[in-house]
Amino acid sequence: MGNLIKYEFRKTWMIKAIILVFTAIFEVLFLAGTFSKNEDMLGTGIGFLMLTTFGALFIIGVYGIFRLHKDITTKQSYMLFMTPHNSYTILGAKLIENAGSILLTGVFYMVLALIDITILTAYSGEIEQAIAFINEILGEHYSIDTYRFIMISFDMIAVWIFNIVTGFFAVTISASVLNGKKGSGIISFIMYLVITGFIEKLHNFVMDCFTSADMIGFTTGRMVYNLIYYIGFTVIMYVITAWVMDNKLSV
Amino acid sequence: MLESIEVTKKFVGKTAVDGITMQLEPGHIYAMLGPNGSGKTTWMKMAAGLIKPTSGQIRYMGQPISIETKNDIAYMSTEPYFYDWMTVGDVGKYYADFFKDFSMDKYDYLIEKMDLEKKLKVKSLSSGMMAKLKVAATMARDAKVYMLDEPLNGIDLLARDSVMNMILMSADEGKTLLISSHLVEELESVVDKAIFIKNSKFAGIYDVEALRTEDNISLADKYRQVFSDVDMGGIQ
Repeated sequence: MGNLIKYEFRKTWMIKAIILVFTAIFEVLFLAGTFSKNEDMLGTGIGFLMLTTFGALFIIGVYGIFRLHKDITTKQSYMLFMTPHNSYTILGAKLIENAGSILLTGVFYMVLALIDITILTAYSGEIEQAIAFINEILGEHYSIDTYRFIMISFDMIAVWIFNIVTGFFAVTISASVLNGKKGSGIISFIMYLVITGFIEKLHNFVMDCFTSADMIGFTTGRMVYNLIYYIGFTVIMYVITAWVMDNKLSV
Repeated sequence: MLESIEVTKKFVGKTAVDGITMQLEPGHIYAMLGPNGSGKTTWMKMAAGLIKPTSGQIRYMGQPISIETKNDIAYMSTEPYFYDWMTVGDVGKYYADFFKDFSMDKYDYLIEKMDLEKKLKVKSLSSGMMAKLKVAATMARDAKVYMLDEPLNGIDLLARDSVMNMILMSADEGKTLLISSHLVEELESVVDKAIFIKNSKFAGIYDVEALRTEDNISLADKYRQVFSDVDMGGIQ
């Protein structure tokens, strides 16, 4: 499986390198703005860094779905399926590479954000006051500190990885069960929306059933529940997708 | 060694392979012959474990085709399938990473004989060079069964000679070679058995030498005889 993961990374490193270059440019802009106390430059740097963070997570995930689609609908599929590996291993390698990349990217931007906030508060006491003021308005349940920031970030990453594996399922259905049928792309996209929508509704329903008044806003229990819920459904979608690939896909 | 038992493969609205039963033995070079769309590629893909039969079974050494049999059965598709970013050298490394029976020394020898440079980008190769590369990568494996799907497709006469020589270098007593093609004359001098696939069905397996000496007919003429009633794009 190690070799499969290695080649999955090889297929996607270019796009990651481009994202890193943009991040470096905006980080330099941010630091220059901070040290020179140039608010326009600082604001631009922060804005673009936030955009790059969400953009990076989005692009890496969607590109993973695109790669899977290419790997099962073109002749390049032989490169994977002629090797002595089953669909569970092939898809597992893709999922590990993609989810791992998303996770590492998320952690990278989390750490970068924490470092940047520390630098910013060190150079501008007003920022610290502003954060304290915002947290006061948000109140105890919704205020943000480093711990909450990290937990919420992991929660969002888990939801996104679930969305990616559901995307894997959709393109696999399109290339196998619906292969050659009219509108297979649209049907599989609708399936993607229905599945992700249903899982979210189910999540909210379970939450409503078990959430007590003191669990409003941020709680560690809620975050842990979210993580387990979405990691669980990620595993379920992975198994279903690999089964479809193993039994219904003709390369 | 490789046994096909009542193998059928159906796609939406089409039966690609219809109840093929046959047996391939080691020490032979088989030609798999039939017009386009007769089911040769689909049967090979099933034997390679790339797709599953709708019914029936293909067995290798008595075992059903599985992930394990991919270690012994080397398949080469007719279409180019390497990743665009690869160089000729990368193709060798990829095979070495995934196939225990792959010999980098043999690969280096074969690509040198084919005048292919390791630094060449796969996407820049001509169809003839690509055909040579595919065959070199496949034949650098020490597999028990080689299945080559249309290895001579779209390449000039000199390249065909090089490719055929490379294929023959790997033939020995313990191995089975299966080459599909509709270039019957090109294969006639190198194969000793010919399998005919007609309208998705098995239409016979012939000993090429016996055809010549006993039936007084060349493989090409036998092909014409078998497929004379099949629509071959205007050629009768």
